[in-house]
Parts: sequence; C-alpha cells; structure tokens
Amino acid sequence: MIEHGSGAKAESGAKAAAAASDAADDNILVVRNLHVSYATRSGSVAAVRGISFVVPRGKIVAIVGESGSGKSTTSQALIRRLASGGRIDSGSIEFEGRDLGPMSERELRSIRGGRIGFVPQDPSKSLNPLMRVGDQIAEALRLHLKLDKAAAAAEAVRILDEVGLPDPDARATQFPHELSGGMRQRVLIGIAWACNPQLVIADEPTSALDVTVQRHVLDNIDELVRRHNTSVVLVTHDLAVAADRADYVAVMSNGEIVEQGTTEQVLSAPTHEYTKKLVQSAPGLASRRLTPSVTALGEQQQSSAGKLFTRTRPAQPAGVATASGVATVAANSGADAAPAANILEVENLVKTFALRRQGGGSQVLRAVDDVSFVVPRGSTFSIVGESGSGKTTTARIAARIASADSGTVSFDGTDVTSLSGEALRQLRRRVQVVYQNPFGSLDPKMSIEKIIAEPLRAFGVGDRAHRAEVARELLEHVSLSPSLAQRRPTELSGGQRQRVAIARSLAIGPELIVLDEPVSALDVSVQEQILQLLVDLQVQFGLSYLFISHDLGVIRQISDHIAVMRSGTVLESGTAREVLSNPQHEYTRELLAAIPGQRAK
Amino acid sequence: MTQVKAWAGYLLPKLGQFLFVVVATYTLVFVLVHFLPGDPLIAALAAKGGASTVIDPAELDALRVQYGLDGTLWQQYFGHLIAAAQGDLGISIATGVPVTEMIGRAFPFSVQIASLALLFGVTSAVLITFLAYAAPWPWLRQLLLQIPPFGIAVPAFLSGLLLISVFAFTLGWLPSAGARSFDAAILPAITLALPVGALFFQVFSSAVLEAQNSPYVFTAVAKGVPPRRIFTKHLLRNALLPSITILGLLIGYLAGGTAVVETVFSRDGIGRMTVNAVLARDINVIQGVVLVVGAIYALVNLLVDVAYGFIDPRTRIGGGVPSRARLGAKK
Repeated sequence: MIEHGSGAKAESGAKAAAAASDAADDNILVVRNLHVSYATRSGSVAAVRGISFVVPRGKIVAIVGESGSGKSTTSQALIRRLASGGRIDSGSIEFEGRDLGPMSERELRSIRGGRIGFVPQDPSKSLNPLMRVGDQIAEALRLHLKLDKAAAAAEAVRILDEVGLPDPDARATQFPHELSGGMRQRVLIGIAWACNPQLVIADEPTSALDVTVQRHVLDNIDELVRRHNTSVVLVTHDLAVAADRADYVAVMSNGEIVEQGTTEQVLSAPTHEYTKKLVQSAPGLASRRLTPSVTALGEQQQSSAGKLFTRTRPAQPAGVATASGVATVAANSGADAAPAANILEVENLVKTFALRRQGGGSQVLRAVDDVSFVVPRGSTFSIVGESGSGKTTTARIAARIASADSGTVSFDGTDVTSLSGEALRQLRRRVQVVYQNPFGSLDPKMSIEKIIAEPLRAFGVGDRAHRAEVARELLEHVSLSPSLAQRRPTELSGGQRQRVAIARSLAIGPELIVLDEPVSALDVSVQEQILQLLVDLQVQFGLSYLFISHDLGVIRQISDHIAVMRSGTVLESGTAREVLSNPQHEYTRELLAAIPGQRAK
Repeated sequence: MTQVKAWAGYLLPKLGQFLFVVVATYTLVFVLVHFLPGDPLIAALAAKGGASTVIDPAELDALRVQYGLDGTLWQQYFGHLIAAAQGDLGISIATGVPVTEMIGRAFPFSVQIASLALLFGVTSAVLITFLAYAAPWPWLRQLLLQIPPFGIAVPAFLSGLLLISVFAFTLGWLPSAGARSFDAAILPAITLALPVGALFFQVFSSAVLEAQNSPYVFTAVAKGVPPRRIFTKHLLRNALLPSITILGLLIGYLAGGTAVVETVFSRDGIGRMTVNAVLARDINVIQGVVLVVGAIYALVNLLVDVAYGFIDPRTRIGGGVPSRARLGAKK
C-alpha cells in the first residue's frame, strides 16, 4: 500500500513495501513525497509535508486526521485545485501512470469529473443554488461523455435513481434548497460517479449529516464502489467511519502520514503514539462510561480550592450532603443511585412554531410534543436525537431560556415555569448553559478573565480583585493555565474555548448545567478531554447535567439516563444501560446500528 | 388559483410600499417648498421679471388661482395630490406650459441616455469582472479591479468635457451637443456610464470574487467545467442577485447624473429642465419632476423585487415544480 518517500517513515514504509509489491502493477493512484504549502501574509506555511501513499484499483483508502492535519489539502491537491495561495511544492501525483503535476489545465479538465470524481464536504453549499439538480449532473455528462441535451437529462434521472433518490423524475427538476441534506449529498455523489470515473475522492462526505443518514449515504458509496469497481480516497476525521468502510487507512497529523497500512493493522495494532491516542478517543470505537479521575473535594481541598465557591454559592441547606451523594451516584454509574431528590422535573412540555408556508397560510410544527422527564440530582441526563428532533428546544425550555406553550418545569421542587423578571434572573444562579459553538458563544473583545467573571459581576458577587481570583482558580479547575487570563478568545483553540465556556458556567456556582452539544464542534481527541473534564467537575462540584447530543457515542461516555427524541416526542427513556444494551424502540436500534465503528469490534 | 393568491400575497405589500414612497416623496417636497421662508409665487415672479417687479395684489390673486397656489395649505396639498393622480401636475410658472407636457417632452431624451448609460455601464462592469476572473496572473487581476473606481472619482463635468474635446472636436466622430440624432446620445451616455458602471462593478465584482471561492464553484471545477462556462453558468447569476439590488439605487443616481450631463452637453432632458426650474423658482415644475422621478425610482425597486422571484428559485412564488415532489421532500 505504501510507496515510501522519505526515510523518516521507514518503520511504516518497510511494512507496507511488502503489501505494495503484490499490488504494485494495479495502483490507480501513486502519490510520492508530496509537499503542499500556502502563501500567507507571514510567509509560506507547509500544509502537507512529504506524504506518500498509493490507492490500489477498486479499493477504499481512508485518510484520517483531525482539523489542521492537512487531509483536506491533500484531497484538493489530488485534483490540483487548491484554495487560493496553495501550491504544490514538490512530489508527484501519478494517476494511471501519468503525473498530474506538469499537465495543462485543459488536460486536467478532461480528468476532473471524467476520470476522477470528487464528493465535497458540505452538501448545503456545494450545489449551485440556482440550477436544477438534474442539470448539475447533466453538465458533467455533456462535458465528458458528449451526450446531447435529452440523453444527458435522461441519464441524470437514471443516476439520481442509482444514488437512491426516490421519485428521481421529479427530483431532477428541483433546486437544491428543495432537497434535504442527505439528498443533496446523494446528488453530489451522483455527480462524482456520473461519468463512471476510475477514482473518486470523497472529502468528509458525511460529516455534515445526521448519523442515520450518514450510514445510508456511506452504504450507497459502498454499493457504487462495488458495482463500478471504483477506487476511493475517503478523507475523514472519524476513525470509526474509516474502520467501517476502508481497506487501507493512512493517519495524518501535522501534514505528515504518521502511520498507514491495512485497516485491520492500523486499528488493532497501532504503532504510532498519535494513532493510539486517536483509536482510544474515537467515541464510536471506545465506548464506555467515563469515570471520574478525581474524587469529590475533601474537607481539606474544599477549604482551599473550593473556598471561593462556597462564598459565591447561595446558601444551600443540604450542600455537604449533596456533595457526598454525588460521589455515590457517579461511582455506581447511575444504575442503582441512592434515592436523591430530582433537581429538574419536566412535565408534558409542548412547544409549537408556526411555519409560514409559501403562498400564504401557515402550518404548525410541534417542535416539542408532550415531553416529560426527570433529572436526578448529581447525575447526567442525556437527550439524544437527530436534527429537527426537538432536543435543543426542549433543553432551552428546561433552562427557562425559551418558554413552553404548556407543561411545567420544576427546579429543585419548585415550579419555575412562569418565573419572570428578577425571580428568573435569580434562577440563572442555579442553572447555567454551555453552548455548542465555542467560537460564537464567547465575546471576542473580552479577556478570558472578564468572560469567566461576567456572571459574578452580573450578580454583584465580590469585588474586582475577588472576581479575578475566582476566574484564575476556575481556569485551573478546567485545566487551563491561569496565564491565559488576559488573552482574548481568538488566541485560543476550540477545545480551550469550550473549557473557558465551562469555567464561565461554573463561576456563579450553579447546581444544574445544560450542555447543548458541547463537544460536537471539536476534534475527537479534544472531545474526549472535555467529556472527562465534565465528568470530573460533576464530582468535584456536585453538579447535575442535562446533556444534549446527536452522537450516541458521546452520549454513551457521559450519561446516567438517556431519552431518545424524534420529531418532538420522547420515544424511549431509561437508564443508560437499559437504553443502550436493550433498546425497546426501533428507532433507537437504528441509531445504535448507525454508530460507525461496528466492523472494528 | 392558489398561484394567483400566492402572487397577490407577495405583490400587494410591495404595491403598498410603492404607493407609500410616492406619497411620502410628494409630501416631503410639498412641505419643503411651502415652509421655506417667503411666498413661492412672488419668488418665482421675481426670478422671472427681476427683483424690482411690481405686481398688483388682484393680479397676484388671479395668478395664484391660475397656478393652483390658492386656498389653504391643506386644500393645496390634497388638491395637487388628486390632480397628480389624474395626470395633471399644474402649470409651469416660468413658461406657462402644463408641467405634464414639459416632462412628457423632455423625458424620452433623458430615458435615452440613462438606459444607454445603464447598458454601457453594466456591460463593461461584467466584462471587466470576467477579465479579472480569467486573468492568469494575480497582478493583472489586481490592475483590472483597480480601474473602475476611477469612474466614481472623476466628476461628470470633467469626464464629459474630456470626451467632447477628444471625440467631438479633435476626432470629429460624434456631435458635442444637441439631442436631435442618436449618435448625439453616445457621449453623454458614456459620461453617465462611468460612475454608474463603477458603482455596479464594485458590488458585482466582489460578489463574483466571493462566489469564486464558494464550494459550488469547487464542485464545478471538480466536474471539469471550463472557466468561461463556470463564469456564465455558475457565477454570473449567483453574483447578479446582490447586484440587482443596487440597480434600484443606480436609478436614483442616474436621475441626478442627467442634470450635470445634460447641462454639459446642452441636451434637452429632465435633468436640465430641473436645473432651469430650480433657477427660476418654478415650484410646480420642481414638484412635478420630483414626483415623477420618485415614482420611477419606486417602480424600478418594485420590479427588482419581482425580478428576484424569477432569478432566485429560493424566493420563487408558487414555482413550476410539481407539488407532489415538494411534499415528498419533507419526509
């Protein structure tokens, strides 16, 4: 599988040389020592640094890496179309024995779309919004296969049928905005395969899709590969997807391939440190409930580390008792938790939105339809569902950010459904929210210290010096260096920002934190760290979590209780163990089956 | 039937907006003219006959009735409004000719150079943008992108005089003045096209260059589509969407621009007529012109809104897509 270029990668190269020799004659793509860099204002930045790999005919090769690893740059370099400022510095890309490097644009155009297909990343933006989808497929057919208009249109309909769009005749005449994300991605797959190419490059083809849709789309790709004997370069951040679909895996980090081989080799016996870490943290692959790495703050620590919070926290009669109760709950993974009071009880929530339909009239969408659940104190209650399931709306109502049409929300035994004004503001002391997007939820103009201390300032807790002290202490609790206190959010990585957001939510000493997809914008290795942090903080501060996610792999790592939502209703709920190991509802089973990484087990 | 209802639901509010703009324009001008210090009729007569003109009060009252400037302000306001709705804009104080007739006579000349200017301006903006898009070297692209801003920077009376001295006097290709023949319209149209085209270019070229980096263009490139086809099939319409919006604004710019250009080229037209009316304090003509230009401005913006519906399927009303398919898309 490997044509190794630089001596630095001798260990993986040697192993692969053997594999390469039996298939040497039948490699459709051979990449040798490829270097790609981008020109920026501060000089040239190397994005890909001397990678070599081959793609055997009819096989799927996955390139796995996290953001910034250079995997997308690699995929774009393979058709010699880099983002502006990008440049192939050296190395060769041989496609069917010919180097693409010195080819003219005209020659390249006959290869792009004709013999190398490309499935791009974001289905919502990758289709021309003003062109019917049938025409977008027909365009490729007319260019490369020289079909006339009518024949191309008919062939486009056939392709739409092949990629699994129901009612392809009508679909072909529709515009992209009239199709769902999964359907748009199928159209893009149809474009990539339209001219029966020898090679298809798929750059994160399913990352923007719901997990059940992802599975069907990947199945569709598998089928096309088998039927047309296409070779595929599958670029993905998700090791589990690679494990399920690829014959070979190349792991990229910092512009280099750190390890490559057959999927089995790489996943079962990773040799490189980075691969090991990746395999360990992939939620689909290593799914177990994370256990706290710390214990509840003891008397001693409480008086030193936690002293600031005891002051900020509102007087709480059962404060100490709760903290010890938490430890028990967490230790037992919520299975046989000691009977604790429910921190949150939600009953018969209903929330409707009026959708303005084209051509007047309106339609009522029941975003949340008769939803009830309880969150036991000190545990994590998770709601899992795909986009449009109503999980976020439910969480917002539970946190009293949005209001419900009917139903009740009780916090710590008192009805808070109709709180308003100052009473509602005081509730914010006890219920905090962490949002999905750590880039949007932090004010870029404020220093980290100011951001974390803002809730304290809002409630007039302590003086300026005291608040700064609390902020620094919180930074330590979320495993960030207090030296970051004067930095701005833009100087931090996504994972660091999310830690800051968590620190801010802790500042005022809440009892319940609503976590709305807190890790879905982060790389997998960072995801795991944040989840571990959440589990640790839960024990340290005796927190209860309402956790929202679309990812059952993540849910499995953190939940004590799970509710599965779809179309505004709770289909199933129970303890994590019940729901995950003995799902009652068909949809839950489908969700579980859709988690990538099944083959690896 | 539902189609008709859909269109009505879409158009009626826009029509309401249109009427509001016209009435508001009329009201604003009326207020400005009548609340300026001094009697408008006396000012106009003074401008006509010199500062020492003496008028008999009885004669003045008769003139007031003749020009529709009698009665209380309310009577005048509504009287003029109703008359205007019937196509009567009063009589010019300076010339004694009905304003509607004056505008009707001058209008075609202005429309001629304005639409030519729009055509020249938009075409060259699209052309330069395409050249910049297809430029093989970055420096050439930058150079091309820097040219159009000159169109705004150079004032019309300067570029107009330059064009006259080169093409009319030195080369003798085109007439320097008048409005008799079609070729007399070319130099004024070019003069007017410079700022208009430059404004359009600013919006259009940035829309194209932004769209150039969009994922759907990447898809087209990965399909093997050649650059010219990418420009015409994928970029042009997408970039026109934001550009059309400023077409409405350009109409306003054109109305102002004709005043300068028609004076420089001594052509008949709305612009020159307005300049003369202002100098003569001819409030009936001023009111009439502002009302007509305001109505055209509002009408063009109404058309832009409707055009949006045709160009962008996402805002299309009803649409030609079978509803069965649309329902299916929801599942």
